[in-house]
Amino acid sequence: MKKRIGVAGLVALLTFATASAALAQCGGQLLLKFDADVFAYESNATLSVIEGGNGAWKSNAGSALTVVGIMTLFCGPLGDLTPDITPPYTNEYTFVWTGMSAVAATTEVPFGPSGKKWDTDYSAGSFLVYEELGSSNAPRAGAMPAAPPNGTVPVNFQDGGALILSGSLTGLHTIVTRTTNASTAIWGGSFTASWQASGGTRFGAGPTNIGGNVNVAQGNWCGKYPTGCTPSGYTAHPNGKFDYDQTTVARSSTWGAIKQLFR
Amino acid sequence: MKLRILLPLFMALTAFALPAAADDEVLLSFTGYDYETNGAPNAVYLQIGDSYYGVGFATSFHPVWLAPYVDNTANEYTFYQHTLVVDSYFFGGNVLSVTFAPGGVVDYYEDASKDARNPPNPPNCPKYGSNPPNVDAPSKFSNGLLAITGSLDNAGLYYDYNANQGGFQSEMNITGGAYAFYVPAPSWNGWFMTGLVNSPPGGNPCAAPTGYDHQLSGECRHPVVATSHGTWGSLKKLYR
Repeated sequence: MKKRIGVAGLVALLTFATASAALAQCGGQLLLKFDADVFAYESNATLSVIEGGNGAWKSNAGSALTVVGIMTLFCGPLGDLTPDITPPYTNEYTFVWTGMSAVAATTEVPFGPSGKKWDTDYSAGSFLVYEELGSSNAPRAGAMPAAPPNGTVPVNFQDGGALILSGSLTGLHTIVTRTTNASTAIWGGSFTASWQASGGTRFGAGPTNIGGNVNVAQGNWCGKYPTGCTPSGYTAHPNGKFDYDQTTVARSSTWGAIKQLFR
Repeated sequence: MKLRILLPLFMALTAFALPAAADDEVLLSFTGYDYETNGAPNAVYLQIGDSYYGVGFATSFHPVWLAPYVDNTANEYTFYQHTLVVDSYFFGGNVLSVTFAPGGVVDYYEDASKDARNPPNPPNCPKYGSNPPNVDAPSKFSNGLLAITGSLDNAGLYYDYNANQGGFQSEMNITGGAYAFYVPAPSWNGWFMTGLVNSPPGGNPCAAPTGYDHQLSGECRHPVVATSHGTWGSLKKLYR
């Protein structure tokens, strides 16, 4: 006799009651936040025409994308993790996005009266989040070593500690805009993607773990070159977040299957 | 009171003497939600005359200029982006592009009441309320100590309905606030950008608040301007 088992509600209740207190900045669907110290680079990107002293990087088809960064905030089930936000950064939580490549060359279209808009789609890849307690060695904004990959990037973003969360990133779409063709142009940018956890020490069931729901990643994608967003050798400077819905998906099961779990 | 004067002075001196890197750096980062109010009866999103707003929480601060003075345990740090009125509208190729008249403002607050955060979280959720403006927003995001305020000029917003994402961008120049002195004066002028996306369904324990247009994740970037070494005398002159 098959019954729809309402385990979801119980798990949600437990989560509700025992999740650690979130920090002041948390709220809504926020799970992970990354800010100043996130940089993207590609294997095959070319610079757009420099207008007003600045341009943006355009991916060629198949260009491999890597994003490295440092987390600034954890919320919800991961709210017990506390990255250091001031020097000397005793604990650091780093991440890498890897395995993605441009599905086609970046499109470049007019934007506004004399501006430009660049769109890029990337193939599916993966994300990995690392915990390094008691030390830090990942370079930060203002000190990113040129020409990645190099002896520091991405190596120092994936060393030293536990892999706490990993999974897939799909449907990454980036947009970079500039309002005019002058040096006074205002730059904008954004990205969206879907993410789904599948590994790491904080993956799985339980109030302080991350389940396998598909969720949204979103934020800025700053592509201004050469001043501002992109140090030498980097193609973008993202800033954003991973959202999370703690609702556990209910699945059909049988009493027999449930009994098996306890034998 | 003395401390309030001396500390900024000390910080200004420190900044005055420090060599600077060449990059722009993030002054503040934030997440939140945006909404509009219609300037005239219309059903078009961000039509000319409509006003655009954002509210939310600062999530990180410049590690040297601001972070040492932030206490996330004792306070909440919120922002309120306002006085942005659409002055040009374009929609083509399923992409919306608007600009805003000069005079926009973004305010960052330090608030010990934490009434926007609404702790404990969970089980409580932040006080965005529904269909803003409401009794919670923007008022609970715009109370406490005005830490930094800045002007938003040359502002624009795009939303690509094909990709279902967009952005807001603007110049952001610091004009005041209790924490402004912590930021070296040559770095007061920068820019501001926000990624926008429709709120996904669900959200447990805190669903996206209803009546807001997008959730946003953004940053305020300011250049680290090279500074020269000064003397006490030249500094004193600034205050005479």
